[in-house]
Amino acid sequence: MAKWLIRRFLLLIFVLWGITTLTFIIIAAVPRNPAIAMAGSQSSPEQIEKFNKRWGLDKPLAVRYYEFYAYLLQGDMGTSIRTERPVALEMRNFFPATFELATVSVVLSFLIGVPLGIVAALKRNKWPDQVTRFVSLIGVSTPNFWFGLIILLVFYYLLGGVGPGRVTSAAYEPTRITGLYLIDSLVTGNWSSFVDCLRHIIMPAFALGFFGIGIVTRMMRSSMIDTLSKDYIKAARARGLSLFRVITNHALRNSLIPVLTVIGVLYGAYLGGVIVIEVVFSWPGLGNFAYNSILKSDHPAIMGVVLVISIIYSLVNLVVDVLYRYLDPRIKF
Amino acid sequence: MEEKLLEVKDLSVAFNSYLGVAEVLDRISYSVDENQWLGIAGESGCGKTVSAFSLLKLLPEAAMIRNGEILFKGESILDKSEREMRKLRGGEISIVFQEPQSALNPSKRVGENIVESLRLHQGIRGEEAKRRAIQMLDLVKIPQPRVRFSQFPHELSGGMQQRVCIAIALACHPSLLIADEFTTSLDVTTQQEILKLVVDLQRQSTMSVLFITHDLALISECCDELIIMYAGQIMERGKVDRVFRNPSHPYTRLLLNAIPSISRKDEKLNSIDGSVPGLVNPPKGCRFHTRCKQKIPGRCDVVFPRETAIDETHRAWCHLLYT
Ligand SMILES: Nc1ncnc2c1ncn2[C@@H]1O[C@H](COP(=O)(O)OP(=O)(O)OP(=O)(O)O)[C@@H](O)[C@H]1O
Ligand SMILES: [Mg+2]
Repeated sequence: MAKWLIRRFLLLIFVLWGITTLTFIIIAAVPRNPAIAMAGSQSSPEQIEKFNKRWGLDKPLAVRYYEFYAYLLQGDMGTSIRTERPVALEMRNFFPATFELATVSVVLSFLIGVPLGIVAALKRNKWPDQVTRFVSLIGVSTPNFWFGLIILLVFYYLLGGVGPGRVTSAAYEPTRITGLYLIDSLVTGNWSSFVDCLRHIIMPAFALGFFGIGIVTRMMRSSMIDTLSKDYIKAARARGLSLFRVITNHALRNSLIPVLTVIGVLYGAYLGGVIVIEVVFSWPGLGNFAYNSILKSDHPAIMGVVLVISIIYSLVNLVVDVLYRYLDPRIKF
Repeated sequence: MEEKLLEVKDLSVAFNSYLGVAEVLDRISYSVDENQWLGIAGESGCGKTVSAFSLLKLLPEAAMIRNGEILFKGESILDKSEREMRKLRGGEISIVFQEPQSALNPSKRVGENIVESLRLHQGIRGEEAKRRAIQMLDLVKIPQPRVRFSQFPHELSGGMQQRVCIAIALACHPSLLIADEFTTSLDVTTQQEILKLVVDLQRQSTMSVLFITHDLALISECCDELIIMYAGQIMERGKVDRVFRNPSHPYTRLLLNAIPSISRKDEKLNSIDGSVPGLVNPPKGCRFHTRCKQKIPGRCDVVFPRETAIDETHRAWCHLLYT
């Protein structure tokens, strides 16, 4: 296990290096100067030169590439050109909101997708199966921003739901411990804050997670059908277990194992899709930050966002792998 | 006459399939006495497994019991509710499958299955259940039962896995054990060991065994009576030695000839020409007539023959036996 973890860790570092290099190249290739984006197209050549000098944009690319890693190894991700604050600090501020949103989306996808998948498997080709098939088809094929806008329209304007953001007002913000509001409010026992946060997160999480509900439902259905056809299920039935007990004691765990791998995929999709949803729902997270940074060609900030999202994505996949091996006794490390 | 443990009367089962309705069992009747070994033999697809699962009322959704009656200890199984059936399954009637590696849940420690059965049928739980489970593993001659209890199926050999399955099946002392080709996937030596184990265990208790196989040699080793099935119909039944000495149905004779024997090893292996007919629109009359060399046109392919008594228990269904 230790050896396996070390190998995975080295691989992770290699992947992160690859992703940051790629991002660096793309940023360098886009012919857009942050000076113009920031200072405006009316700025004089002197102003631009001064700007470039201040942010180190006058240095050759190779030097800038080297410096990025040199500072990174000391824990310094540079300074955002747009906000003039350290990128690391911005990450600490914005990241928890995004991680919380993506996690709630993943949890929602499973909470809804798994039971739907089971029902569809048990009622194969009957109407419950057809209905879930239709719902998941919509989920998989609807662009999440469109779905988000519909939710916004229906729940916020027509039904008068909660406003944008993570909380109604600063008064509801829990004492900051992890930055994950749901957890912080629970830990500090701040019940009214917890309810307010939950009410705010549920709609964007649903808009983001609808796609995953579809995927989890379909995967759970086929995995469950596969498991139910196994001899050990027949054997368990022949031992006198009720269908319900057979499913909870024998079928559920074995059919969940392959579905769990999709958690990694979902985090990837959600962390990628979060930009649009955060902008739509005014969610103060990395997605919004990334959106504004890209508009202003804020190079250090973009590098920071990409790096943090890649790290999280890789770590989540690592955790899923460990979980998978733990659940299936046949797999050894 | 003593009370029969199990009586199946005129049982017909059909399957809905996309090709049409398949008549998988056609009015089969047999009975099992207490403490008896009954063998059911026949080619693949002749309905042996389906007839076993009908006893537990665990047929696939596509199946329908068309006709007939099943009496277990004098009570009609087909009239029982699902709840009553669950008591019977694993408590009174147990089944051991062909492939032990797929009959055990890969993510459950093998002992847990026994504990589960004990809790369900006898209300025994906790340490006591574990102790009893280890006892069962010991009973089926698994070395180091304490260690094996908490191992996963993939850590055991095929023979060991089948022993575990037998331990699970016998945990609640059933009065009928259905062994559905339970030695087929094992090598010959292990096959003999496992068969001997079940023979011994059966002797020590009051239990009947319904031994399903297509290996007549195995039947001759352990069964009291046997049934020869072909394409969902019973062709012949009787005491094993009588049937072997005096096979009265052409199909039985062919099956017996097809057993490879050491003394005739230089002869070419006998096999039966043709194949089992499809069961959607099966042949009329005796279903074996399409492959029978002695078929009487106008009779065999029109009506199913009536029962002919060869001796007190030996029966065959063939037009050749009467005129
Ligand atoms: N779920 C099902 N749907 C449709 N037909 C089925 C189904 N299960 C079994 N059958 C049909 O029932 C017939 C009898 O099958 P069964 O499994 O009882 O045969 P068997 O005698 O046990 O054969 P084997 O020696 O291969 O185990 C076969 O023709 C098979 O095609
Ligand atoms: Mg079978």
